[in-house]
Amino acid sequence: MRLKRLELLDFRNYPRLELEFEGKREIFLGDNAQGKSNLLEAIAILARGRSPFLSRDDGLIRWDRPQAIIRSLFEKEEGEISIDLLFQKGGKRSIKVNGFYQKRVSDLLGRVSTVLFTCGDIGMVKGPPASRRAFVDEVLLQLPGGYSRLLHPYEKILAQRNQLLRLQAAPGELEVWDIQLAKYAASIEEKRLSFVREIAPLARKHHFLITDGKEDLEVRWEPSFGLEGDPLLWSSSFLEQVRERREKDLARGSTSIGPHRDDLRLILDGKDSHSFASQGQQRSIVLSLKLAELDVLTERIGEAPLLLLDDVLAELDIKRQNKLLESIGEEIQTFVTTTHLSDFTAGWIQGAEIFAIEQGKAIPFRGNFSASREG
Amino acid sequence: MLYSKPLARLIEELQRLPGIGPKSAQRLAFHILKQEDAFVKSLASSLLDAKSQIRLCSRCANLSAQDPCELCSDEKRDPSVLCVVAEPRDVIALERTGEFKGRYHVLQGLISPLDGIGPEQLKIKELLLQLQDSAIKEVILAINPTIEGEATTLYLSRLLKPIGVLLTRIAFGLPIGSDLEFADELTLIRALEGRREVR
Ligand SMILES: Nc1ncnc2c1ncn2[C@@H]1O[C@H](COP(=O)(O)OP(=O)(O)OP(=O)(O)O)[C@@H](O)[C@H]1O
Ligand SMILES: [Mg+2]
Ligand SMILES: [Zn+2]
Repeated sequence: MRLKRLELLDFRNYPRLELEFEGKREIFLGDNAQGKSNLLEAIAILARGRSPFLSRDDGLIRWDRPQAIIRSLFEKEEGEISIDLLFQKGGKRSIKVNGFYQKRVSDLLGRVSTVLFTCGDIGMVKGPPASRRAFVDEVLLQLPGGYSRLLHPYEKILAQRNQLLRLQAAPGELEVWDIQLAKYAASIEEKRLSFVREIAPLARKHHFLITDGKEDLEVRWEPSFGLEGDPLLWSSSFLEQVRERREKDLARGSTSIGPHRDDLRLILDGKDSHSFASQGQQRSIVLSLKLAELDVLTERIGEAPLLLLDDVLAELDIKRQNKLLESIGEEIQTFVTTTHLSDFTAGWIQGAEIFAIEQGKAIPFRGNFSASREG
Repeated sequence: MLYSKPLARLIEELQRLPGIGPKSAQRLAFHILKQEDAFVKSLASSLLDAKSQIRLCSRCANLSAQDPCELCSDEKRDPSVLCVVAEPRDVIALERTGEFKGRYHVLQGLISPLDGIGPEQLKIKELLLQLQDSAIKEVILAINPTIEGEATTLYLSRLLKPIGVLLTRIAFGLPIGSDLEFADELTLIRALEGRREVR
């Protein structure tokens, strides 16, 4: 798929912007705080119906404005598709696909997809489990299948249960929440596990290539509770386990098992990368995961997603930069933000469209590329 | 000061209403000031009358100026079926269908620990009192399938099962005009749970 047109109205620091994309390599070039990342965010939102960074929409609206609009036109194998989003102060949003209003965010999912890779992602290897869960959830939230209708209620049930734990409620009062927690926990685990099973061999393959066959990456989902046998039984087995832990949970004032306590284990040559991976190894691992994510989305959506790279090239050394740029297939439309063009090989930059981003404006850029290195 | 005192106070009070922000409050206040005195007097007295005359029915906990309320004292209603709902507006919604001929019980809320609402804060004692009437053969739980609604439904079903009345809940499933292929799992599970024989 390919993004052909993007229009922003009062989105972040863009009062009004209209961009046309002709090709498959797009570079947003500009100094700090000019609006490069905001552009990638706008594109990411088109695939998700919500910001990958904010839980509330208000921050997307230009300061002192009542609403923000993102309009877009994509080219897909099956034809063109337009996606228009409107965010209003106070949390109201409207979604239009090909001119028709859609009732729910879930009606938008699966039409277009993006892989967003920011320099912050590299921190996930050594970060807390939440940052690795977020990687998995981010992908699942973009896919059709109602994942947000599992995850968000789960978080709400969890908050209600934790409140009862803090109030030292009677076990009988916990029961009605535990039953619901179990139902959602089981469905969430099923989706997460099948995704991790799919991504693991692909990440291993990419890591093998990136490290010239020197390192073996194993990606494994580690649930915080026992998951054995038929997924149909997970809900009742989770309920049993959470009941058993009520005493303990009451003592600590929070729920000790469940999807909110899982971890994505990244094992390098048999050892947990969380405790020992070097800077370079961390970068290779995350790069492999992101390339694997690209494969999985391509498989599930049936078409290659857009790749959004926010400041990552600067984070990678020359070798890994080249690996990344090489592994981006011709069919993948790629959007890259950068403060200077020297990060790119001359070959890659040849077919690229460059936009100079300056204070909420984008100007097609035709400078000389002599700064870029040979490659 | 932007507004003179009485106007500022009116805007302030209106703003306390749910769903009314500063802009709407201002609009409503200006609108009210433009109206005839008679209308404003009648608006004010209708607020006071409603507040002083409407109470909770001692049987079903619905809002009414009468006790027992119109529905509870209507002899034509079927005394063998009791429909339990969360809010008075749910009674209105069900009545509008004209399909349900039994009686109601209004819980006046849903269990939600984060909002400080436990079973004791709901009209559950009153419900148990209603159920002492042996004429009641079936209790229908008509509560929204939100997580707080589900928690309340679960709580009530555990509480009421030992009483031995027939306990049912309304079915939730696919909205009219939707497509199986695009329905999410939980909706489909609910729709399957609520299936019934084709006749
Ligand atoms: N809702 C908003 N309304 C107006 N301006 C905003 C809003 N949200 C963010 N901004 C501004 O947008 C500017 C650009 O942000 P952005 O993160 O896109 O910059 P960038 O070009 O990616 O910079 P860097 O190279 O430092 O990453 C910031 O200065 C920020 O203050
Ligand atoms: Mg940025
Ligand atoms: Zn009554």
